[in-house]
Amino acid sequence: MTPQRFFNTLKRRSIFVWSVLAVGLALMYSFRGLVPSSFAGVAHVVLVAESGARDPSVSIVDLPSIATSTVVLQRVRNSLKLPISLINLKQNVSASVLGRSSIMAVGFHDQSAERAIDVSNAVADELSRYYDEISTQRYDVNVNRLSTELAGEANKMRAIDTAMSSVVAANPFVVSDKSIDNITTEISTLDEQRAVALAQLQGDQALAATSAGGPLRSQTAQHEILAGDPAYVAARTAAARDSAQLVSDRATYTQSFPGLPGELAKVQSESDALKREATRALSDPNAYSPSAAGTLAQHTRQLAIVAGDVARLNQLDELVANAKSTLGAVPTIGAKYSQLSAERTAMETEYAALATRRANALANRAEASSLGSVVVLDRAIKADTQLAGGRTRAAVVAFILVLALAVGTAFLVESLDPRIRRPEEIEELYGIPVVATFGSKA
Amino acid sequence: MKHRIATDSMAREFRLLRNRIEAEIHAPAVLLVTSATERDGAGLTAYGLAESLSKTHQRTALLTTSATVLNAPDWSTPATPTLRRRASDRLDAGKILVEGGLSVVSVSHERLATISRSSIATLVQGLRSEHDYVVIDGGGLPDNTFGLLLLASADAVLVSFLAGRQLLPADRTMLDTLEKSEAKMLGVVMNEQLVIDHFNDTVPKKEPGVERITVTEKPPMALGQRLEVALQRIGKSF
Repeated sequence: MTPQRFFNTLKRRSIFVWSVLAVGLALMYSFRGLVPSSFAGVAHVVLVAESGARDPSVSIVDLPSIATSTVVLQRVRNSLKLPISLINLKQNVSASVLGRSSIMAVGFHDQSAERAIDVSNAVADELSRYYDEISTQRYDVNVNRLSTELAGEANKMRAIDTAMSSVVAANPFVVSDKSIDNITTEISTLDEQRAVALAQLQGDQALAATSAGGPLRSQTAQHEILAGDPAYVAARTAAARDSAQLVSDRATYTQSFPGLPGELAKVQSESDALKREATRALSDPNAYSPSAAGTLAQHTRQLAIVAGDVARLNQLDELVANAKSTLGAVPTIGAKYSQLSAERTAMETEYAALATRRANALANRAEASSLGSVVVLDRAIKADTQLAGGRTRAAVVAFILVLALAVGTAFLVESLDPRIRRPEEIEELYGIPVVATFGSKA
Repeated sequence: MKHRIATDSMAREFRLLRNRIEAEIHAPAVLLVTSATERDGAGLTAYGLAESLSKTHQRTALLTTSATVLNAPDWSTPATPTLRRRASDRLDAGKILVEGGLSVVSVSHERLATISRSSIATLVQGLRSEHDYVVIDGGGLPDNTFGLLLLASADAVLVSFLAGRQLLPADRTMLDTLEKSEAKMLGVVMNEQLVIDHFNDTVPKKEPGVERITVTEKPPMALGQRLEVALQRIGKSF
């Protein structure tokens, strides 16, 4: 279809075109209230470069792509907990560089004015952070590796310190250079203490022997026991009386006194009975004597002292044995401690080197970040968001649709019209060519 | 009714049509301009073609059943009263000298009703012997005996069609009739209703009731008019 035929058709069917346009515009005006309002928040960021130059790694023309990247938008979506999909978010976010400047406008369209402001500001902030990340990413990798290495070295040093501490705790002498002299001196001291303890033990043993030696029960104790036994006292009284009676009778009478043998036998019997009572009383385990009890207590104490002396002596012997054993192990433990010390010294040196390299990497990172950074120049505020782009756009789209409908109606009517207007039609019907047309260009 | 017609554009279209016909049909030849209906503008086409042929110093005759064409505007020059020609009721044939020669022969409807095929054939042969091109305004072929009478004498046929009208049974009738003819089909000329109305409104509706007319030589043009025509011709040549 040629442009001339197109416009001729529109001109011929202009009544339909204007009618559809009028109805369409009237409907647009009637239903304009159904179009939701749209708000746009706009924030401005600026690419700040060292000495006013642009960052050689990332130019200003790349910023719109970074601002609308899925990484930035996903972070914004997560931080604001937006209930919209990432695709919808990407469609409504706009980023464009203002002319040839280093300033870029970051906008977001939404039906909510607050959300439009929040999202545009969040995108600007996240763009600033993400730009710093990608500017220093290569340095971050190096710094992270060095930090990991430093942490590993620190752990190794702590393990060595623990091992050295345990060695020192078990063998304190290893920290001294005169460990052998110290151990020898300690052994001598222990020997001296042992000799004293041994003498003390022997004295105490002798004293204990004196307190426990001979008859356990002295004459005083036996006397106290017998005096305290009533049967023995009764038998002794009867025996003494009868003995006195015998002596008296002998003094009074001659040997021929007939009562003497009886008395003599009685005295003898009572004497035997008294001996038996004495034996019984002394052998009684419950027999009590204050003197015997005091002696027994003293003996017990003495035995305890002896036991203490023995224990001390044994302890000293053990200490001496340990000291002598330690003295024998001095070469092995000392070598181990020296090895640990050497390892720790080497570790300290390596740690210091890594720390220096990490410091240099951090310095390089700081230098890289100073080459260029994105700074939020102007945050979106409420006063800047009263835009009705959605309604205007909807009106434009509706007008285009109405216009297309009007044109389509014109051509629909044209196609339904049975009248012949074009040369092609008459050529097809007549089978002969059209050689002239009069009036079509008039 | 006033119509705004670009006469320059019309003249250019007729020149193109004339050139095409001259290339396809060599003189002497009889050209029949016909159509399916009377409203398709066969008269307009026939007169315009005859006038255009006459301007190339070709001896041209226009055979028509209407004398209105005698007052048709000159498509090549602005229509002025002095350039228009009026028909007369004289029986002698004459010529209009428009840079060559244009003889207009009008046959009234009354005469047409009684004229014989041989007579009209003799008339056409006579015109052919005297002219390079004889253009016949055949009108609507299915409803007009004039066209049917002259179809056998025509060397070529040109069909007029009114742009914007529906296809009618008369079209099929005309095509069937033309298929039986031995004349060469030159093609179709599409006419807008606006042009046909302008042609009809410009020419007074006057039925002369004569068989043969004589148009005297046109009066000489004034000097200013000659200069104007010459300048226009020069301008068109460029």
